[in-house]
Amino acid sequence: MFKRRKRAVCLALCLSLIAVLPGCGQKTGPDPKHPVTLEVWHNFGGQMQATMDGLVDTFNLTVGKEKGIVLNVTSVSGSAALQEKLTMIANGDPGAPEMPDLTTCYPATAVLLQEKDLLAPLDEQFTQEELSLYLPRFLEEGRLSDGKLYVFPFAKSTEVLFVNQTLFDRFASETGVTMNSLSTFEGIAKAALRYYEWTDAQTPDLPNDGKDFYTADSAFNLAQVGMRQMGGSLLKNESLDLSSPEFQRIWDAICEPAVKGGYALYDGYSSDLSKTGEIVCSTGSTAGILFYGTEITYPDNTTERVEYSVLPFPVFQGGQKIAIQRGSGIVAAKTTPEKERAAAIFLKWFTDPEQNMKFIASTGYLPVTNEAFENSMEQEIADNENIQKLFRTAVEVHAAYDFYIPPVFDGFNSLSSNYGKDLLTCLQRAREQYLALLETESPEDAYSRVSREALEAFRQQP
Amino acid sequence: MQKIRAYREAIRQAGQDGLSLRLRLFGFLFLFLNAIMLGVLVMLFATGVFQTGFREHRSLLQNELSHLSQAVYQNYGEISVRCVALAESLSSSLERRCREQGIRPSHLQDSPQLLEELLSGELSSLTGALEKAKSSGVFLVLDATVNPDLPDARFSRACLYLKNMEPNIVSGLDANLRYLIGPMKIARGRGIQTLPQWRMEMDISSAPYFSGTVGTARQEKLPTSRLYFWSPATVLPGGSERAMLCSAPLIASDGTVMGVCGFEVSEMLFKLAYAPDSDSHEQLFCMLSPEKEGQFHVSGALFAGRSATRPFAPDNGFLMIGQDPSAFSSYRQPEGELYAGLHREIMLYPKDSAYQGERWALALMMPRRVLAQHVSARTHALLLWLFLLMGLDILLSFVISRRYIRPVLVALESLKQPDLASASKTRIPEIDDLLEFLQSQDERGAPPPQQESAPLLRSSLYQEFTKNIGTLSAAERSVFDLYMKGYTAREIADVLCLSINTIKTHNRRIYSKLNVTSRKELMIYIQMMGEAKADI
Repeated sequence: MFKRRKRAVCLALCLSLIAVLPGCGQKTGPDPKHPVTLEVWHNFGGQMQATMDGLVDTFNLTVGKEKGIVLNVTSVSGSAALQEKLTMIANGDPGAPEMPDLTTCYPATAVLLQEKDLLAPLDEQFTQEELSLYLPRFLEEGRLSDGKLYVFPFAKSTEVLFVNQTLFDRFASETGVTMNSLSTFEGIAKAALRYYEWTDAQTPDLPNDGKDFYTADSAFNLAQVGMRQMGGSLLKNESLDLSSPEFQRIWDAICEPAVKGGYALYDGYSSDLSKTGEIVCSTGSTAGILFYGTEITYPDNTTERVEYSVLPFPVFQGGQKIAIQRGSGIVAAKTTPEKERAAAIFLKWFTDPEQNMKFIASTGYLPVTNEAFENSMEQEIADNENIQKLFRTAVEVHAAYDFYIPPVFDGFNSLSSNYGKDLLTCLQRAREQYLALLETESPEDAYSRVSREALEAFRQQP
Repeated sequence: MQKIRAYREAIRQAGQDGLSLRLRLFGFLFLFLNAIMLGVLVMLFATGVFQTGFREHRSLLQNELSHLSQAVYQNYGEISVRCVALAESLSSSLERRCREQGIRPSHLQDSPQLLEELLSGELSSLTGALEKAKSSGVFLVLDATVNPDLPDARFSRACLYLKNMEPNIVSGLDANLRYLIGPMKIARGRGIQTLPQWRMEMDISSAPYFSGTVGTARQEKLPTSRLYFWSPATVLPGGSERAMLCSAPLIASDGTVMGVCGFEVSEMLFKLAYAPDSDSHEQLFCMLSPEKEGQFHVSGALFAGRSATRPFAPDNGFLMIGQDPSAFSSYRQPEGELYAGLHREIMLYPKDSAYQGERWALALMMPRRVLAQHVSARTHALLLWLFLLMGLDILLSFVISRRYIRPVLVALESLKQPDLASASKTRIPEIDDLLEFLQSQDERGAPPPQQESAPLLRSSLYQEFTKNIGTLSAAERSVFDLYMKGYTAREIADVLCLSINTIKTHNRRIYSKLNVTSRKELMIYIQMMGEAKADI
């Protein structure tokens, strides 16, 4: 009797072990019977949103269904607004929304979130072999102060020069300015001054109504990269260093056309100006390509079909070929192990070359895996002609340029935005002063004075 | 294993020898318990327990639908009211501005150079209205174009269209305001970022929210509150997101319809505001759709729910509404999947509205097969429990029959023993009585059959018996002698002043020495000795 009971107990124990042991070897993950829902935020608008929505739907219906993961996009907003919301979350501001499970995020914002222990490190979810598929410099950008990978690259961008070829050809045929002049910032400054004069001369009865030629989407990026091209650095000890001779060159290249006319002083995206034909070229993110469109709308509602060219990022004369590497990544919130695992499954799927190329082919971003970058970029994968031009330039830049990755530290975002606002304010004031001085002084004297004063004023900004 | 084999053998034998007591009892118990279970099953069917799954899901959906339809009715109603208020405010403001510029509202198109100024003047009213409404966009469309000489001028209208990118988040509106349609100069002057889909004017070639509203307002002389119109969901020209628009006519005091204004409910806003609480139904989704002649016109519907469950490309026509046998409504798209759910009409217009004939409904549904899976999972669980209960019946029948019959079998076995007096008590009164009865019968002794004694007298066994009498001890001999005289065991105990147990011990030794197996046999030999007048 006793023996029989002992045997039954042993059998029960063995069965329990058989039931329990298989779980020991597995990572905690989603279960198709009990799907996890991940809230997703992103900042892709327009065509990009349609592409992103399509990919999210595809994931939900395929891999998500199979593994028990449902992605639910609950916020689509502009990049700046999204970063602002994430900053509110990091700061615990009143009215701050709940942290989403997955969101696009810049490294500078991710630092704030990571300091509050709100982000999940992603290294643990990937094997070394899996990580080796990605371009190392993209992964490096996503590693924060503790060396762990928080900002996962899904698509990157660099800055290029967008040229409205239709308008430029019209200008070039009249003035003899060539496309070669657009390879340097000094050349762009000269062309801008010439364009302003040329357009001003078309309405002799209206003085100083020339048109702008160029603008930069990010004056801060231009300065950062320009300094690097000349071997200097805009940042010293996490603050601006505006006293170097290299910065003087940057200032000169911007200030003269900004004050005399030819450089658009605008607190918005250059594509807004391009759509109405108010500029000819601009430096901006490759991801902005779709915003330019294919036509110009004039104030009388007439439209003109135009062609764009995409050129590599200009270089300061004598400088090295360096372009910025930018673009947000995706961060995963620190939540449950199931959700973190589910987030990693999505990221693997989303950055797989097949999906990655679908995304970039309709957005203008650059892929993140070696395979996608090296094998797929030269194929005619994009329907959009502008994107095809962009990819050809991106491959050229990838081969010939070094890339500058902005540093990540607390306060970088505010430093960057303050630089742009202060520069705009100083240059707008200088422009007004210049136009006022033209009544009494020669253009050269007037410019010399306001330029000096504007630089001083800019250096003294808090 | 051996037991199973034994039972199998017993069952096999049953056909030949009749059923054993244990099998009979097992069979009766099994039938009895299963009869009860069958009764329970019939009761469950009769009371509709197997339909409970459908009923519970229906009740769940009913509650959710009630909650969501209330929310839709209230929010859409609020937007309608704000739309009418905005239209009335803009109408008087535009009329005043026209008057200031020296133009009559009916001659708006004659002064295209003033359109930008008119639009710019109303920008603050629009942003203010958007800030208050739970809406993803606000618009003002004037029935005039900045360039009437263009070939497509008849489809182009001066417009201001602003979008709130995050209407569901309470935060500074300015950060999320985007410029979709309007003169670029206005956006730049106010520092509003444009959207990639920016257009200078609105394309009204396929815009019921403009043409329909303006046309109706010109035909029907009704107050603005009876002229607002909810357009089916559509993608604005150049855009990518679907949205429903509520538009109201801008009517000047002389009755001129100057254009329309209104609010937008984007699919994203709808999804965030009305996604069903579907923790237990991952594929449940909600749909606000125009309803006409027993069909949902899904091309004009908005959907909320987990995006993976949106059932069909909204461009694909309609869903036919039918009645499902499971008390749900069924919705089928031609050559598409079958859906099951519930719907309820949503009143978007007052009874005397120009659009009172337009019917809208809010539906909650999921693929029919998913609902069936949910319900059958429950029924399967119930059936599984019933089968388990049946297994338990078999086990109980086995255990009870075995336990109940065991003492009976033991008693029957003990009957086969030579000494009934040594049989232990079964604690079953009837069997114990029987044993005692047999024992007393045994003690009295039964007369041996006459014809058998004569040959036995001459047998070697008898000779052996008489010979062995000599081997008895004195005590045994005295007991034997008293048996010879016809005393019972109890009487012997009394005569010899011994206990009955001592007598039993003597009995065993006497049986052993005389080589007999029972008292009955002993008494036969004693009788034979008496007959033979043997001298002992």
